[in-house]
Amino acid sequence: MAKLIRTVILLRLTGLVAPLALWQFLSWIGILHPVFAPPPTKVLIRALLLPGEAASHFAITLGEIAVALILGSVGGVAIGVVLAQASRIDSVLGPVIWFVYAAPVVAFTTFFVVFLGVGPAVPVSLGVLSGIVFVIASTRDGVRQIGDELIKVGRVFGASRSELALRIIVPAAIPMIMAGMRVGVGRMLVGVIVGEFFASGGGLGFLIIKYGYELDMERVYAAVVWIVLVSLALNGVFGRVERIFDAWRTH
Amino acid sequence: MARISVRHVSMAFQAHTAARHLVLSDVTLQVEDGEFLTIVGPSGCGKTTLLNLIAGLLRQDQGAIDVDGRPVTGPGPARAVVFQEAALLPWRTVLRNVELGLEMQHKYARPEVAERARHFVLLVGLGDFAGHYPHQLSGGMRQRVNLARALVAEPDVLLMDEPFASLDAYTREAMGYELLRIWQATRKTVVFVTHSADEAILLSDRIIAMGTAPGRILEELKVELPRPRSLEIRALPRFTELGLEIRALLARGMGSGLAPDGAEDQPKAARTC
Repeated sequence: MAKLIRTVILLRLTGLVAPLALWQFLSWIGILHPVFAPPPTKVLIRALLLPGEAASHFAITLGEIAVALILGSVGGVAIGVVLAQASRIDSVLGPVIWFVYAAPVVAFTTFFVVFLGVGPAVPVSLGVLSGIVFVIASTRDGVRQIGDELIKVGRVFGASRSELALRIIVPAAIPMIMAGMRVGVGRMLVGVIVGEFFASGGGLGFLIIKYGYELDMERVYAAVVWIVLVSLALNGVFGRVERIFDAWRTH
Repeated sequence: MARISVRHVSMAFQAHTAARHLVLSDVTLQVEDGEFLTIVGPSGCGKTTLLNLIAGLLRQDQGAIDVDGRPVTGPGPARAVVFQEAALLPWRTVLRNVELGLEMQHKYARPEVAERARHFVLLVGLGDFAGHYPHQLSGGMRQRVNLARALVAEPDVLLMDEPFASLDAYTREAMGYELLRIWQATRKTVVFVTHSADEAILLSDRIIAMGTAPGRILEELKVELPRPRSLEIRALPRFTELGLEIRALLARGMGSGLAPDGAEDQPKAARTC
């Protein structure tokens, strides 16, 4: 077993390192242009320096993703719980949710800029819009799967509507909600970055556009590296939380 | 005045196949204060439905149900249910699951709720497991938690829906003696539903036998066996006689000896009986 895991890790490292080595090699022999495709070693050095150079932009992006995550998860869970219990509202809102799911969220940027102005509200809105659908859908399906018995327990022992939702329904659906959040949080991050491209005075997305205009591709890729790292970290956190709660379901 | 009074209650479920299925037909019964009443009958006789009606989880089509002289309009703190499947919250420990029975009544402050819950955790013999989660418990232990959760709610009436049906035969019998001990200590009015004649005789003051299609009361039997009861009671001739009597009654209540209504065209709520 341990040997198998070691093999898998080795193969994954190969998949990561081999293209980078090829890229490095092609840069060395002069086939790749040093400005547009700077070698990975230089990108890595820039990436290591970037948090020091642009600490305020990191803070902006992390702050925006945190706000988007809170709004998207609280709102998504609340909407999901309502949809699970009110089939008529679900029928009305179902197409809207599918529309938001399928539409390129970037298309709404202008809409948000008109209403919210240029600033952090736009990336947060695009982030919420990008990810909330996954939270809504998983909450709704999770709540529908809850056994009749737990609802009866709540009714027999005097739960009010809000107690039933907060003490029984939402906790019982948490394993499913976490699965939706894990997918949703990655989309939220992308939404936030896209929002920063067009309509904010700061953040990693803003930096990518700014450095792009300056043809400073080393820093563009360095910012991309950090966005990927943040995404992986968030995914890892939610994956771990999901597994903890999964233990309930299997027993 | 009787603690529970059920008068001429009828109830039908609309099956998917258009035909209305009469689950309960003209059921009348009374339960006295402090009495242990058992309803025994085969699957489909409406005994679980009757219990859910008394609990206020369902509404009858016809007839009246009063508890303490007041008509039942929904669930209430005076009536606690011990569920067939333990239905514990998997994210709560044993103690916290028991607390659930009391906390939503908002009668006591948090520490008081915890203290009362601990008392009943001890009473059902789970003192060493208060911090365990449901998935760490055996089936019998989960049913003890289920029982403690109902007792902590300080109900006048305990409604027990085949609480030992999913346990193995030996655990089931042991839980029967446990329930006798706990009932002796608390003296609640109990309505207990089972399909086991022996379980009914061991536990009850009075047994109501029900038949199927439509669900109805066949007969009522008094169990005059002495209390407190223990394993030895099974050796009494009267125990055996009662067992035969109930089995004969139930066989008659099922008509031809086959269940007259195909289980597949019964709605879920009726079938779980």
